[in-house]
Amino acid sequence: MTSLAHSPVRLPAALHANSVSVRRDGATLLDGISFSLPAGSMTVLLGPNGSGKTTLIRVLAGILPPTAGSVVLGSTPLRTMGRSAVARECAYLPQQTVSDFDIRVEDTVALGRYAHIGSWAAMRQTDYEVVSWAIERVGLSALRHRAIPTLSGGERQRVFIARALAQEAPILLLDEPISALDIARQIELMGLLKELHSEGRTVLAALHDLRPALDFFPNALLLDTGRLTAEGPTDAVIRGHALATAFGVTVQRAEQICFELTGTTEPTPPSAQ
Amino acid sequence: MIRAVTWVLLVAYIALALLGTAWGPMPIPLHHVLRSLAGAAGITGAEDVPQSEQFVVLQLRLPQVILLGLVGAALACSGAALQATFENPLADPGVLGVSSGAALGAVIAIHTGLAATVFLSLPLSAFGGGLATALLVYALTYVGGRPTAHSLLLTGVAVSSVAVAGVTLVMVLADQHRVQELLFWLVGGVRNQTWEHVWLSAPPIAVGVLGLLSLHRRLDALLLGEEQALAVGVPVVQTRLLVLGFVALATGAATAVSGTIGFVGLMVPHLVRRGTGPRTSHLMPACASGGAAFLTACELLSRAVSEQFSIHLGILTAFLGGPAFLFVLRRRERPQA
Repeated sequence: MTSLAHSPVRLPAALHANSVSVRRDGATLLDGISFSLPAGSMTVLLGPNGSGKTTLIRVLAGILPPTAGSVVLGSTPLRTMGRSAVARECAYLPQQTVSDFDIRVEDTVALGRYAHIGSWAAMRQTDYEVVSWAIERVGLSALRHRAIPTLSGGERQRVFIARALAQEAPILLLDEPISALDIARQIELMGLLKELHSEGRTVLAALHDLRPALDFFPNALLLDTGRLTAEGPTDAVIRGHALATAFGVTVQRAEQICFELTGTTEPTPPSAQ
Repeated sequence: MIRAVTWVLLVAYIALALLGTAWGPMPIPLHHVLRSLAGAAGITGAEDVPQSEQFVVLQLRLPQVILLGLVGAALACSGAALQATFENPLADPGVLGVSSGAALGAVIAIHTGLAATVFLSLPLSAFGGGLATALLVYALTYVGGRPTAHSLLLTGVAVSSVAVAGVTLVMVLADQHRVQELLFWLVGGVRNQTWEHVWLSAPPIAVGVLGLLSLHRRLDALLLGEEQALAVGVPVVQTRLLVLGFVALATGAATAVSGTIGFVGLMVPHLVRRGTGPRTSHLMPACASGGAAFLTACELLSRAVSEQFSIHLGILTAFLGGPAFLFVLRRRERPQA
């Protein structure tokens, strides 16, 4: 058994978007967006398909430089930081991608150490310990030698969360982390995200689904065709006019159906070998 | 870092290379080969081995098997790196246009008569043609906007087919007696190559292969896709350009001394990956020795098939590579779990 090198979560800095705009090929993908993510907040980024959620998350993660405006971490603009420096602060989880290559769980998680060790240095003992800790933290120790394509959707998402944890970034930016999962796996994954938030991390997740947004996130941002049209407590945002405009639906009944895990676990597909 | 597979393949290459120095139109006993090699290395004397045999071993066959090793390693490592860079298991050095550009440089040198008059101008023109094509592919991709994996791949394919058309045009225009010589660049081989070719190709191939190996962590990240690589902090565009540069160096040098040898860069990484897994630091050394062993085995096979007329090495690798390509395609289309 590997030792638990518990890495205490560094306090995240607040993340500010200042009049962020992104234009490409004449189309405006984001239009003058400003907001702040306070340190240790847990926020959902809502919006229908095509409203610019992915673009905004990529801008916040420092991957897509905005056409105008800036993203500021604490008091440092992202554009003045190197890629690795940003990756040590903000861990970005893209939407689920399928790789054709049989790369293993622990090797995937170890990639999270890139921002700490760079291209050429070897993994040190502490790096291996952080990788083991991250895999254990998301409950995948038994699968650490398995290839990614042999895992189920929920397991795969956990691998990428472990990769983000191995990055030791106090800010997690997730793009549709639960949209491909069934309800029980959604609840499990949201439980994990809530734990990570309660340890002090800032969590921002883009969702197009309103139900889990209401269930799990205290705060919400609403994107409508590239503009930020509402922000505040999730409940108020979801009942607001802006949401009705953005999604073309209104909330009819407020009473909730609550789901609770009954303890069935996700079946792991049989190994390819 | 170095897997058992790598050692097995390396031993296989050395064994095949020894066989390749002993076996040919003039068979030489293996102990004479070993004595000649030991003599050349200054370990023991080789006075009892006939001078003619020493000459065949040391001056004719040894540079050839070393070249086979260098070229095989260059092509296989380039293929492995390109497959990771383009997130596409079907990428290989041919798609960049480097091989066909090198072939075009060579046939132009032959056709204009430059090759016959200036020493080493032939491999140097081939090398220049390969690098120029790679630069052209870069430039065209940048003019087109964002250098994405797809735009690079498509530009490479387009430029490559133009270069192949150029080679064919030169062959059509050429005199009858030159066609054989020109054909070499379309379906390559290492027969008639000498130590000069080894000295010429070894440094760029070494720099290219070691350069690719040094990018192993970035290539691993790219296996999971561009977004994932960006997410962990890898500078993707810069990495892609570095990979293309190192591949152009290694493949350009390999093509300059061996002509176009297809499918090695596609086939060897796929076969080797089954033993090492996809991690670049494990895969790349195994590809180097696997490519060397595969190409040497193909050369021996071509010697076995025909003693009188030479079956070009490039024909054999394509014959074996075509079915391997189909196999990979079928495996890719298999539904994912």
